[in-house]
Parts: sequence; C-alpha cells; structure tokens
Amino acid sequence: MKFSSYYNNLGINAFAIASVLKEAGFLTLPKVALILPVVAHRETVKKLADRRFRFVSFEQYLIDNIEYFYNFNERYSASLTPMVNALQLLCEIGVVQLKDNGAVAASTLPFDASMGKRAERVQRASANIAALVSGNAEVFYLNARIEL
Amino acid sequence: MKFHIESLQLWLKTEQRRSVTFLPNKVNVITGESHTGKTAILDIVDYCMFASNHRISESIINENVAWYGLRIHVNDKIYVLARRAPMGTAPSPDYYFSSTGEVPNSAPSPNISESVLKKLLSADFGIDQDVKIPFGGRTLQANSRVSLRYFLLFNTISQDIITHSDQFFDKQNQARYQEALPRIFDIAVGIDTVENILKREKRGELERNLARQQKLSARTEEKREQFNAQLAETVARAKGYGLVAENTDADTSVTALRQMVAERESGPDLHVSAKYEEISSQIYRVSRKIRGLRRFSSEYVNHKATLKETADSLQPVEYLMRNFEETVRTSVFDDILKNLSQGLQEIKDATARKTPLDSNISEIIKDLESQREKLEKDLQALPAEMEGFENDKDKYIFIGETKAKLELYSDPQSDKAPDNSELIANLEAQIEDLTVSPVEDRKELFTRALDEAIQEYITLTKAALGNYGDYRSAFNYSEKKLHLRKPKTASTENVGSSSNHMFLHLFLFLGLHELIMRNDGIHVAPFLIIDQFSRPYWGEDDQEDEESEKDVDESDVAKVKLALGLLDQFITTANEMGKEFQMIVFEHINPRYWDGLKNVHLVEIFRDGNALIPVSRLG
Repeated sequence: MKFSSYYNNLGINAFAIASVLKEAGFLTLPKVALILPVVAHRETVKKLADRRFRFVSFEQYLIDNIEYFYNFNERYSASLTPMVNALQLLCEIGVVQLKDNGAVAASTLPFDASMGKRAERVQRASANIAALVSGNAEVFYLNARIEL
Repeated sequence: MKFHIESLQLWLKTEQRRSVTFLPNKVNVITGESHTGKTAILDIVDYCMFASNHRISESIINENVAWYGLRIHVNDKIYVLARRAPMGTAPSPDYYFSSTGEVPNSAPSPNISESVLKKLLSADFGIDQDVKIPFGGRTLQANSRVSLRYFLLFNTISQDIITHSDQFFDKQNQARYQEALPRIFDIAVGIDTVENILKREKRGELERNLARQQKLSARTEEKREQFNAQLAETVARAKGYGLVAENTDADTSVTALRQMVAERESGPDLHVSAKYEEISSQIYRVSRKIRGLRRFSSEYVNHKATLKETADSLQPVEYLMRNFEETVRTSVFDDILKNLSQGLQEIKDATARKTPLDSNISEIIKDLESQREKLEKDLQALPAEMEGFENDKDKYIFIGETKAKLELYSDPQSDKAPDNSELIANLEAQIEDLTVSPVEDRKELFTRALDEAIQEYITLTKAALGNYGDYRSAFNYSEKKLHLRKPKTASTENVGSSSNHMFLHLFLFLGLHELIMRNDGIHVAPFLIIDQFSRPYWGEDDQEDEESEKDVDESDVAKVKLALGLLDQFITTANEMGKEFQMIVFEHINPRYWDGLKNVHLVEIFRDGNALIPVSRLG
C-alpha cells in the first residue's frame, strides 16, 4: 500500500501542521514530524475529533489503541517529504517561525468551510493531536516503533 | 518471564523522595529493629500492583507519604508504576506510569487509568483472552479473565503465614483468592498450558459435534436446523441464480424455495451479488491488519539489532535525501533539515537500548483471527458469481430438482435419512489428530518432580529439621500443601514446631518456583518476598542488642544460617538453569549470619534513626 498518495495535498498538510502547532504553541521538529502520520490515519483522527474523547497521556492512548499504531512507521516515512514541504510553505507565508530548535505558531491559518470535511475533522482534533505529540518524544518514537 | 524490582520509591509529603534499591538475582536483605517499616514494603508492593484494599499502616508511613511507586524490570522493559497514597482505608484510583522507567523528582501526576495499566501488565504476565478461570465458584465465574494478582500469590510469604501450620499461601482469608488458587495453579506452575486447554476445548467441541451428527443420522426429520443445512447447497445455488435474495437466512430461504416451487413463477428478480465482494475485501483488510500487527511486534527486534551498525546515520533523513527531487527548497530548508536531524539523533541515542511496549497485541491478533474465520465461513455460504441460466430449460430443471429435494426432506415420514457418514468419518479423524496429554498424568508428574526438588532442600537443611531430617517430601496436590512423610510409609505426619513450619513454607515456594523456571513459565514472576523467617526463634523482632542474642540457643542460630544458605543456594540453582531470581527478605538478624554467602546482599539496616521513613524526614 502506498501512503504517499494521501499526501499529495500540500494545502491540507500545511493546514494540519498549522492547526496543531497553534494548539501546542511550540513543537520541536521531531514532534512536528509526528503530526502528518497521525492525521493520515482516519480512525485516529475520528477518535481524536470526538468531543467525548478525553486525552489522559500518550501511554494510556497507546495501550488502549495499539492497533492504530501498527503501520505508523510506514506512515511516518511516507509523510516526511510532505512535512518538510508544508513546513517551508508555512514559514514562507509567515504562519510558522523556526525558533529554538523547533517551530512556533506565528499567526493563524483560519479554517474555512470550503477547505472540506477532512480539514474540519483535523481542526476539531487538533487540540488532542497536539496533546498526543507534545509529550515525551522518546516515548512516542520508541513505542510507535519509528525506525531511526 | 523475566521480572525484578529495581527500587521502591516514596514521594513524601515534605516534597522529599525516599528510595530503597534492590539488586536483581540476589537475596536482598533489609534488616533492623521492629516498627521501622520493613513489613510495610510488602504491603506497598501489593498496593502498587492494584490492591483493592491496603494494609499500609497509617501512622508514620501513610501519613507521611503522598505517592508509592516501584521501578520494575519486566521482560527487558523498564517500567515505573506509582499509585497515590490511600486516603484512610480507601485506595486511590490515581496511577502514574512511565514506559521508559522515568522517576519524577517531585510527586507524580496521574497519567493512566488502572484498567489500562492492568491491561498492559497483564500482557507481560502472559494473560490474554485464552487465560481464563476454568471452572466457576461462589465469587469467580467460569471463563472469566484471570487477574494478574492471582499469580502474585506465588510471590509473597507474609508474616501471617510463614509459621502457619496449615496455610501456605497469602490472602486465603479472602474468598476471591481462596477460589483463585486451585483454579490458576495448573496454569501458573505449568501443569497445564493455555495451548493444551485450547486443544482440549477444540476436542470437546469436535466430540460434541460428532455426537450431534450421530444423533442426527438417526432422527433427521425432527431437526429443523439440520434440515436447513441439508438444503444449504440448493439455497446457495438458488441465490446464485438470483431466485432467492442474497441476505435471507436459512429458514426464510427454504420458505422462499417452497414458494418458488409452488407458485410456478420465475421467482423474484435477480439479486446482485455485492455481498461476496464486500466480505472478500473485509477478509483482505483483516488479513493485512494481522500481518501488520505481527510485523509490528516482531520486526522491531531486528531493527534494534542493526542499530549498532547504523549508529551515525538516520533513516528518516536518508529517506528525505533519497527523495530529494520531491522536496521544495526555500531559504529555511537547510535549517529544517539540520534541526530535524539533531532532534532525531537525540531521540535515537536515548531509545537505542530500550524496548517498546507490546501491550495486548497478541490479544488483538487473536480477535482478528476469529473475525477472519467467521468471515471466511460467511463467504463459503455465498455463491462466488452470479450464475445465469443458459436457457429456461436449466431453470426448470433446477426448480424441479429443488421440488424433489424439498419433498424428500420435508416429509416427516420419509425414512430416507440424509447421508452424513462422510462428515462423521471426517470428525473422527480430526479428533484422533488432536492428542492432548491428560491433565491427571501431568499432575502426577508435576507432584513427583516437585517432591524431588524439595527433597534436595530437605537434604541441604537436614540439621535444622531435627527428627524430620530424613523424612520425604509429600506435596498434597488437592490441598496445595506440603507434608512430610516418614520414609517407607504411606502416611504423612503432622509436623510440629513453628521452626519446621517455616522451613516447609520455604521449601514449597522455592520448589514451585524451581519447577516454574524449569517449565519456562510465563505467568509467575521470578521473585519472592519473605517477611522474617527467623520469627520462630526470636518471635517478634524486638531483640535489639547483642546482649539478648546471647540468650538465643546456638542451635537456633544454626537454623537461621541454614535457612539463609538455602535461599542463597536457590539463586545459584536458578543461575545454573540460565535464569535469574530475586528475593527480598525482611529480617532483624545481624550481617554476620550470612558471612560467606555470595548471593546475599545487604540493602539497608533500619536502625538508629534509619527506617523506611527515616526519622530525619518525618514531616
């Protein structure tokens, strides 16, 4: 299965990164790199966008939903190039700034209904995605079995 | 399984932290005066491992502690699990967990629920949906999940039971644990394995099926369900021709067939076979997930193995470089790449020697496999492709055949029983293939092996057992108790003296652990906490000085030394098997008692102000 086909949309990638970054404020780049592989998984986004969902900790989430992670490494590598591209776009248009070994949200990329259903779901999930990726990066990389 | 407790962590209310460190593969001794919190350590371990009621004493200990925690090594992973101190008698629902063994400096904040943490740890204790209570009781239901706490019964000899004349396991005053012990004993010690249990269940199922088939061949006409099964092929064909709707169940299908035959009409319109493809693609999806999950839990090991060779390179960065032509390059490109590589390299260095959590992957895989099995069954009942009638003649022939079959099977007087002899033969062959050794034989063998192991301990400590030194080990399987038997007699004797009872406790637990290790047991953790085995000689541990020790009978000193020697020897025995074993012993004896024992390690002396909560740190 080729995941790259999901990522050809620079717009939605940039939007996802911007929304999550806005919630988190600051993220190191290895953490930014985790956003798109999370967004690429429909069930994950659906769950995180659910209003009833309460985020407790990465560990709790992982143990409860370990089947969501089984192809995380594939998703991760497939989304590297799109991540780098989207990040550059966001820097160019001044939404994101590189600072202190990471990225900060400089201004917002407002959501518009014309961006589509998927963007809307990402928008709703963004606070939870931010919580998910902004914990201890070592723990995330290790347990999602991302090959370094 | 591999397991040891690395340290006990207490976060005090004064914002200070107290830790007590234990060594793996050693007899860890904490010695000292009474009322210093030695026994509390056992209660704290129990509390952190999900106890639903606690025995930690309120004065000094609980009133000064905010959180209790353990840093443990489980199957090559390092966990920290901590639990907020109980409020009075009520245990706390707040847990902290770190999968990388991180011990927070100040009081932890809760980050995981009890049920999720239990799920994770249960997986490490080899517990999944197949490990279940084999038969019911007053409080435990048959086929309910086994709690990992039941397996912890093998890990403690508390002060309540160590000299008990009749009771060998802790918590036997609680109905749950009293019922749990005989129900999990076989699985815990390896008399029975989950694999065998499943085989037996399968066999039972086949045998029942066989009996049903045999009954069926005698009385077909009464069995509506079987009657439908006989017509399954006809129904499938009718569905293939589109004469019966795709999603009708067996009963209505037969009614539809009857209608079709009776009405002489051409039947309903053709039903399109979309369901077949839907199920096929579901099977594909499930299979892919199973493959992915299997890879997820196994391949990381290979990745870890090659890490050393690729220490300086980063796979994600290399991947980016390989796909260079796909990237845009603005002025910040180099910054991003540099920054990312640095961050990733740090993560790589930090995680290189750590093992990720497996959690309940094996359980999920089992679930998916049964899902797939069911889907495959569903698929079989569906026609692969819509068959068209070449001409009306075929259709009428089919309808005619169906009519004949319906008449044949539905006539209650018909003595033409359908032929299921092939099915019966098939079932018989399957049953024959499933050989499972009977549990009774294995119990017998286990008891014999346990007695053999214990006999060696008896020989080692012969001098301490007085006139029982030449007796034989006689484990009573049904009561889970250890007795001694006079050589060449059939009857066991009631052993007197609490010294002997103490030794019997040590013998039984060491023997069980030895066998569990020899059987490569995965459910019982290789550690043992023993609370003051010298109790029979000194009573409560309130003798404080050398003065009073002089009053002690020299032969009692010799007995304590023999007991310590036995524990020391056990570690050596475990190591000879290529295993590690950890013991934690609370005592009040002097270090001179274990002179020359290489596996004994003095953790701390709780004396002169030093205690679990040292005087200097009291709030």
